[in-house]
Amino acid sequence: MTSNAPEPADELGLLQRAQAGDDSAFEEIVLRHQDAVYNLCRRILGDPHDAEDAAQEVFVKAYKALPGFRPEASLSTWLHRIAVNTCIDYRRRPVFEPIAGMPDENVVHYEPVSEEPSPERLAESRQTARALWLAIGRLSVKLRAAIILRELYGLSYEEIAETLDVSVGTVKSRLARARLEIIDTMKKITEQN
Amino acid sequence: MACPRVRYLSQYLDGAVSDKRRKSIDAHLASCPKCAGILEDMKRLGGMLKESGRFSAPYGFDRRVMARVESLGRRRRGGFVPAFIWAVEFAVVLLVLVIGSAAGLIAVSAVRQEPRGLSWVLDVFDPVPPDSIGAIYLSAAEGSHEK
Repeated sequence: MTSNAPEPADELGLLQRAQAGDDSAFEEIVLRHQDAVYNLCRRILGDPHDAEDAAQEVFVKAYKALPGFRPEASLSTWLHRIAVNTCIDYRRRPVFEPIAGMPDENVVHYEPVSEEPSPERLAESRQTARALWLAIGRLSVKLRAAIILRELYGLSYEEIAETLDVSVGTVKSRLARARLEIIDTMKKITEQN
Repeated sequence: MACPRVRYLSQYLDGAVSDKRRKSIDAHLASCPKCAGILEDMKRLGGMLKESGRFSAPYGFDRRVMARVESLGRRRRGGFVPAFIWAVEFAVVLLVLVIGSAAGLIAVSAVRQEPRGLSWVLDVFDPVPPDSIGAIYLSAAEGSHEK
């Protein structure tokens, strides 16, 4: 994903129509971006119901803010920024799977994308995959957003900085902390087992 | 105690360090198995995340969003039309008030400029002309009073 890429001409046209009050154009924007926005909310919040609530809220906020949106920023970057902020503000307590001996706050339980594991997933032990997502669930939302945007969405440091509205230096720091905390937590989980 | 170079490993992994620092870390990794192990863990972590797949929005998600958005849109459109009607109503009331006030002022000024004796007040009526029926009636009436 290259969120800073210029908007395709038809997307710009859609945006302008939506800004002029054409709801069918906005619906097309929802259709194009709903998977990316929902996936981001799901990866940050963990719970599917919370993720849908948050993702709906993202589009409602976008609709309200649409008249003020200027296409200098990428539409997807703008939507991702709203999504991350919505998830950060999302105060509902997530469903979690506590890790023995650790505080439970912010722990998020992730479900597999599919019941059928991919061939790559088969190569990884189930134990390791479980530990990975538990460790990600242990991160603060800000660190979680940074690592997800980098590793799952493939954004550059600059794109993450724009999405999270922070400096590139902060992105570097958050990514380093996120990676080290995940590795550390995974080791602790493995030792407990 | 953690190796101080560990804080650069994340940027090193992403190719976000200068050539000078990259060479320095390359040399360090050759002699520090702990940092080399952490870097391998970071690589493995990235690989696992990339392969973890992506969730799609649930069925009907777009319709649920649009239902919320359309109710907002109705409120927004509904907010404009009454505002327009209110503006027209206000203009009409204002116009009526202005016309009414102007008409009232014209009428008052016309009364003030009216020459005395023509009308409006009782004490400016012309006296009864002599030898008219009215004068005969008045003299008869005054005579009956005197009796």
